[in-house]
Amino acid sequence: MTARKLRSTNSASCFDDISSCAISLWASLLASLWASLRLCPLPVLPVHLKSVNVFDSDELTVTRIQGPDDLFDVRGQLLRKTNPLRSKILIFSTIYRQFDFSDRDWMALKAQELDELLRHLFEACPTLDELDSRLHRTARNLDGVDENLNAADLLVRCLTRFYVEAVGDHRPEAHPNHRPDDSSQELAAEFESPPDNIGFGHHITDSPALQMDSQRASEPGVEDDESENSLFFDMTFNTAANSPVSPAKSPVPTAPHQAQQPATSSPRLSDRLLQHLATTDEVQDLIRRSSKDLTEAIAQSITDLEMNLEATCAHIDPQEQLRIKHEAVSSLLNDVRLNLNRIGGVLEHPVPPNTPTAGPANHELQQQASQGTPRAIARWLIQRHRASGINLLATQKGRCLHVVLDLASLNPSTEHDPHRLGTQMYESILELKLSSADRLKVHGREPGQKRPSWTRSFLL
Amino acid sequence: MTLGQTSMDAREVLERYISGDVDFKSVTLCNAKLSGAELIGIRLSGANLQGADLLFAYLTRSQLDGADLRKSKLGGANLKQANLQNTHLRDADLHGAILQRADLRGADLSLATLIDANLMGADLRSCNLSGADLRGASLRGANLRYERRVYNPVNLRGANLSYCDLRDIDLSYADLTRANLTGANLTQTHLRGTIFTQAKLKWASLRRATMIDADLTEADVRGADLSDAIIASARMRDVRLQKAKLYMTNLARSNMTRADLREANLREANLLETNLTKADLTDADLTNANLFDADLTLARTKGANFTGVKINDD
Repeated sequence: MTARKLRSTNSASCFDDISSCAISLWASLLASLWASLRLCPLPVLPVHLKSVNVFDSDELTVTRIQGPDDLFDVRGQLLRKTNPLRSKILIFSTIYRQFDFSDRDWMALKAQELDELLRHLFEACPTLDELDSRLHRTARNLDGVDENLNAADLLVRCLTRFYVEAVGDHRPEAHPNHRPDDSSQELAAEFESPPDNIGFGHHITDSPALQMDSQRASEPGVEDDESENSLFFDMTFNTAANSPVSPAKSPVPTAPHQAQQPATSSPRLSDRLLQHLATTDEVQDLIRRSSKDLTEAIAQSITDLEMNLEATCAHIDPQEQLRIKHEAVSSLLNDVRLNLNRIGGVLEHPVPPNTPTAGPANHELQQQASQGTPRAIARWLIQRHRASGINLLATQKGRCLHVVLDLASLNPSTEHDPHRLGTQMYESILELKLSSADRLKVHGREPGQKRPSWTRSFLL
Repeated sequence: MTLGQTSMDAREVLERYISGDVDFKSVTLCNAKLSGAELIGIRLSGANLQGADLLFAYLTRSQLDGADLRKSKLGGANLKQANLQNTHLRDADLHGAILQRADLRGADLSLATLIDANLMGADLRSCNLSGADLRGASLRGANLRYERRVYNPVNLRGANLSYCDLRDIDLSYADLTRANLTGANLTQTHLRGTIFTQAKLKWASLRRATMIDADLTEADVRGADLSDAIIASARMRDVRLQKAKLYMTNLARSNMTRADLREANLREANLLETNLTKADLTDADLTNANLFDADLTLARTKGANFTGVKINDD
């Protein structure tokens, strides 16, 4: 019971978080533009669309997107993290009308796959703001509020990327979401609630804001963030190791005060300033999403723990069960708190705000690292091997320094060879000329595993 | 505690479950109304649950092996890690159900509704999925492997797998005759000896798939992406590959008699000893393709691009 309550407060606070969060200037500035653009995650798509016209008419019903950038991954996330049927009901109720569990509604729901519903949802909500508020409003009116709110959060997070990309992609012909699918058109018509009026705003297609935004969309990070977040909590050791990632973000939040500029003046601002604003927004958005992810992951862990306990304690009497659960959840939370404090400890040595370049910061890190504190060494190693994206932990036992590599964090492009990774670490450690250790052990570990999958030893 | 063939109603089950009894082996619970019930870890092996209403039920880690769940309603049910070995799920409604890592070995899922179901990491060996509706379902990491003398190939005859996520799975020797795989994602899937006779694979992604010895006779593969796939020694008579992407695809020794390859992209494809008799290569792009010992008798090649192709010297 306690866990239940915890879960609900968690998601409630999570929700507050989003609604209170000031959603981007861009949302308001470019709302009308977004309305005219539709989901276009795939650059290859226009080719498909063009080519399909050659086929006989029945081909048109199957013009959907393939490739890595289509909705397969969004759907995968939804299927994995929410109840797929609840998510479908949530979207259905958001874009058409409250699902009433009648045969007619079931038929309609079965006729549309999640993929299709997602596209209709995107069409019906021209801005991220609207998507967020409409989904949450619907979620609160349906059975199983907690689960629905979770689903709404996840939907917003998954679709954010497309709102950003839709603006970046200013080819007016790219309307992949416009599936000339007869059946779905009819269905939409049947529900008497056509998607909110779309199609105005074409005239601002050439505004400076748009050009700027296309630059913004080309910035890396939006998608990476998604995959990185999913790593959180998959690994037991990762909480501490994740924190050193934050210095990488530090050069960006240089202009928080500029974000308060009134939106009305933005068209006259120089491109540079707009760029700053966009970056600030993006950073805030990333933080918001990360925080939501974490909260969600914690809530999920508690649920899982509760379920596991329920299964293991099925034979014990309910009173006792309740006590066990309560203790388990509070000790879990204590553990998490402890880990968070450790992360906070790392942040206590902030990167000086006036050193946006990596050089001096790196130098300082190296100085700290050469004093031999494992934490400093770990930070320095991460900074040094940024290119490979490696995440790692360092500890010292006696005179032996252990470095545990999180293999999942490696860029897919880099080689996975234990020997090479081991030597790289060894060479880096040698540079530090450590006096506190005379042996080095490099371990490679897959996420979710307790034991490293390989180990390499070196003499220092 | 064994109950034999006891008939029970839903309320009784719930009461006993709450009081700590999870053993309901072989009970009869036909048409029971158990929607939204929390029955985590319940043991219902061999139970008769025909037509039961289990909408949104929590059946995580439950044991339903050998149970009769024909025509049951399991929409949105949570069956994560449940034991569903040899369970009768014919005609069952599993719309948007969570079957992640469930054990479905030998289960009968013929004509079942599995739209948008989560079947990630599920064990589906020897499963009968003929005529099942799997639109938009995800089978990532699911096990459908054929193991000689132990597990039969999966039966997916006539199943609807459009927009299904089938990445990285092993569907070798599976029977997908007349299945609908429109827009499905089969990237890097193992499809050795898989039967796709008359299947619809329009707009499917088959990149880097291994399709050696596959049977694609009369399959509709128009507009599909088969780049880098290995389709060697395949039976591809009358296959429709109009506008398909066959860039760098290995089609060596395949029989492509009367194949429709109009406007197909066959750049750098390997067509070694491929039988292209009576094939239609109108406007196809064969730049740098390997046509060594390929048979192009009576093939239509109007407007095809043969720049840099490798052919026999004579």
